[in-house]
Amino acid sequence: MKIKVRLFGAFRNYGNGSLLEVELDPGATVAALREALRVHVKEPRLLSDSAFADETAVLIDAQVLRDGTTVAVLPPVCGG
Amino acid sequence: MIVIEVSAKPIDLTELALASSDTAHGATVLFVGAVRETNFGRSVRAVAYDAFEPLAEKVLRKICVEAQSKWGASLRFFVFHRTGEVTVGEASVAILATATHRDEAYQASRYIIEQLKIRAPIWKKEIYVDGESEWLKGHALCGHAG
Repeated sequence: MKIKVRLFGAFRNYGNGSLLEVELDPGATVAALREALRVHVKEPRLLSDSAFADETAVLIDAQVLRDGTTVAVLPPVCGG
Repeated sequence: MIVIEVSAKPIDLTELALASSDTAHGATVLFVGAVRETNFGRSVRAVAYDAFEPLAEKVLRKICVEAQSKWGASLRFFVFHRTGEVTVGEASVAILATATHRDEAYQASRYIIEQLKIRAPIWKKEIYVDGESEWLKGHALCGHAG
């Protein structure tokens, strides 16, 4: 299945600067998505320290993803 | 009343003060965060703010609701955060809190800015006078539970 990942902050150095598409096995979780992104993102610490979210909440690693879903990868935050 | 805006629109502090006027509230606290000209010894030209806007607005609203539960449901909050490039001296964030008395307005304002910094999905890239730029390190959001 295909998952679209919106990129923010330091992740804008990857993909086309706003989006990456990842192929995962059906039933894959957020944790699996994090592992799959290691092929694209050459900063393992950044990936480990990042969260994933939809437009309403941060997702836990055990969250199962559905085909065609778009999620955002959120590096450590520093607003203000 | 809670008003939240995360956008590329410059923050108009005069408009904000006028819009927030409330004769029932005797205290108004305005916090403004602006881009500094130096950070860790480097000369800064601007900061580029990136935000996951729909979630950032939800998180900021939740923080304000928490502040109302701590210091009073009648407190009113106006929270504005910039996105895009903000030059030195320009406001990047403004938090206006109004309350019956000053103590709860001060405490709530402080709570909102401290929580914003560690919970809102907002990032900044410093752009230096020498032409280099760098995404700043921040606070990890928790997604590893469960």
